[in-house]
Amino acid sequence: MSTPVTTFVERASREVNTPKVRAVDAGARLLTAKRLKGVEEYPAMDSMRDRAREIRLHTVAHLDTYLEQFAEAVEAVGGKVFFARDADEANGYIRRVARDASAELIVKSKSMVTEEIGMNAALEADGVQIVETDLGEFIVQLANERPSHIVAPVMHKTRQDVGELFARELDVPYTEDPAELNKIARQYLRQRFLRADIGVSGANFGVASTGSICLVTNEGNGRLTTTAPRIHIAVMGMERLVPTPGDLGVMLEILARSAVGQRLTVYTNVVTGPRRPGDPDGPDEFHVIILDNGRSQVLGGSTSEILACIRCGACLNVCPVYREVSGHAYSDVYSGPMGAVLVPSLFNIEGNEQLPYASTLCGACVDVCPVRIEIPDLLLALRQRVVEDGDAFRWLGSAMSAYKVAATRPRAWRAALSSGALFGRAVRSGWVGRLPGPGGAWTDSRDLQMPAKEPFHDWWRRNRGS
Amino acid sequence: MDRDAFLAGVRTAVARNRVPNASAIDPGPLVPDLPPVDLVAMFSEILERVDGHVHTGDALQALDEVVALYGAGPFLSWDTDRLPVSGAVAHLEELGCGRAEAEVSNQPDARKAHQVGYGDVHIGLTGAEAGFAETGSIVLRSGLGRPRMASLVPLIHVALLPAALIFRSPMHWLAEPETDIASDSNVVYITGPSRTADIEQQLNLGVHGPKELHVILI
Repeated sequence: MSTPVTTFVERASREVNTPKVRAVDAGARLLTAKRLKGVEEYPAMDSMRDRAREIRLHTVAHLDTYLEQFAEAVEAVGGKVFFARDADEANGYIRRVARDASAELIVKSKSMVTEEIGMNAALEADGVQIVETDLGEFIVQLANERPSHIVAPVMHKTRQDVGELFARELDVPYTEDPAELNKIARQYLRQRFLRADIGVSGANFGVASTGSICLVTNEGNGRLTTTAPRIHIAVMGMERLVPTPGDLGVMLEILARSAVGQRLTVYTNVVTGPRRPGDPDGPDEFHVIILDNGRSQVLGGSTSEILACIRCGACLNVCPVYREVSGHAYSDVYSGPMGAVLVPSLFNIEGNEQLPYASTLCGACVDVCPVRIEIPDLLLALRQRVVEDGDAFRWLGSAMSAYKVAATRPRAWRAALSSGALFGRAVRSGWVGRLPGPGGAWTDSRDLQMPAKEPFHDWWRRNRGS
Repeated sequence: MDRDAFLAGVRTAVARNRVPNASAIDPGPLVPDLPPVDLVAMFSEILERVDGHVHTGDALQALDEVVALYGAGPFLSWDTDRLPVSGAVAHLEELGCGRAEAEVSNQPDARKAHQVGYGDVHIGLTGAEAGFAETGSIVLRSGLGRPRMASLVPLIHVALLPAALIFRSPMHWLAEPETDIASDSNVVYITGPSRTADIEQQLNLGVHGPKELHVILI
């Protein structure tokens, strides 16, 4: 995606303490509790996580080999493979398929990668109608918003919000009963599924040895999208492979447990090529788009470990920053700790300099990550990149720039404090009780210690130095 | 983009890749050695926990119960020779259910017109090739006489599963030498009825797939 026009701090400032964010916080806590329960009843969780990590890191380290194997396997079962360097190439391919099929209606199952490439806007420009079919994504699309969570897209909406939205956009009587709202969506979407020309899905995993893609959904929209339309197009980030069906099995052991505490998602759907001779139904065409869009840059860089991510959302749910600001404070569809690493890694760091700082580095994300990605390390690597680019602190504004100057020069710091030039009357007994400007939120809940009279490196040189 | 150019780019990146611990995969035991359990009891308990229903005993009688519960209506079905109970299709017809055509045309307009008719399908009757006790799941495979839609568009899905095909876990099934997830165009694990919790995390069943799942153990 393009460079965002607002910063994380600007967006976060609008979100903090709103009812919307309180709803997200409550939802994230509930998902965390569900995860914990799911993990506790599964004694093999830790060993499966170790195994899953090995599989993912191994795959990423041999991605060229596995991509080639995967592409050949897809073609061997009658599928078509397209390698897309970026969003434009991926969208261009989908547009060509749509044009060749004279497609008017596309149904889409929940897919972060098609959000990443802005597929809907690209296809709508050609006059093709795209309908999101995951209930949450459908609501987001009707409201013309973005998902606030990668697994639970409308965590920020109340039932009343959805009731009003359906009444307005679908011309149905207002109801706030989730069961009724569910029924309205089922009826509306069912007819679209059955007469859609193309179904577009993402891929939770691709299996290199068989050319299969695996899609998990609880609602069944993933199955309908890949069964009803005559053409199925799967868009897959190039890193999402596992070598074998057995490896897929390991991933499935941990994915749903980490995401929502389920033992398995309701529908674990493995698709291998188009409908075969004798099959009564299923798509006649099967296309897989393998998308780079910055991933090979990530692969060769200091944050390559993020390519092991399996998009379970567990790190969002436990993140104290995500829970205070919601997914909408982040600049892309990927939010929370994984988004704070992935977005500046995949796209420009410019415009996303603040994302690596959108973390307390508390490590809760590592504790829950099913593949044990060292997210704080990756955030620190990105912070280093920001500093090297000379962009550090620029965005912090004048007050924090003063902090930077003072903090890196102890004498100036003490002088500033005693004169009150930097912090006014905020100083009390060796602690700074209240920082001005953006630092204020930080000192609301903690005090900043006065710098030591003698910096550590001076003390070291005096006592131990050569 | 040209495939060779794309893969060459990935190869260059892989050469610079610094991911930790990228050694070959440890081929250690995938299937934990667990104390034996009553697989049927475990399967039933877990499936009911995820809002599915389990029937044991006479299969045709179980079909009577399902129709008594939800009424008769159009049904989509696997072919008789693909089901473990030969009289099941005929029995549903005797109960007043009309079997819908499951063969979808490969001509686009005819296909759509046919599928739009699936809006009325009330019951889906299928077999299953495996069950997983630990997760309460059943496994269905597409193919000749085995339409995918039968387990997908109806309000009520009835699956006939030989109890002898219940495995301890998905990993145990995958470890079987004859298991092949890619031998047909679609293999699906089904774990309870379709569900969503998207609105305020309130559980709702039957959002796109079946609202009810009945597994009849043979």
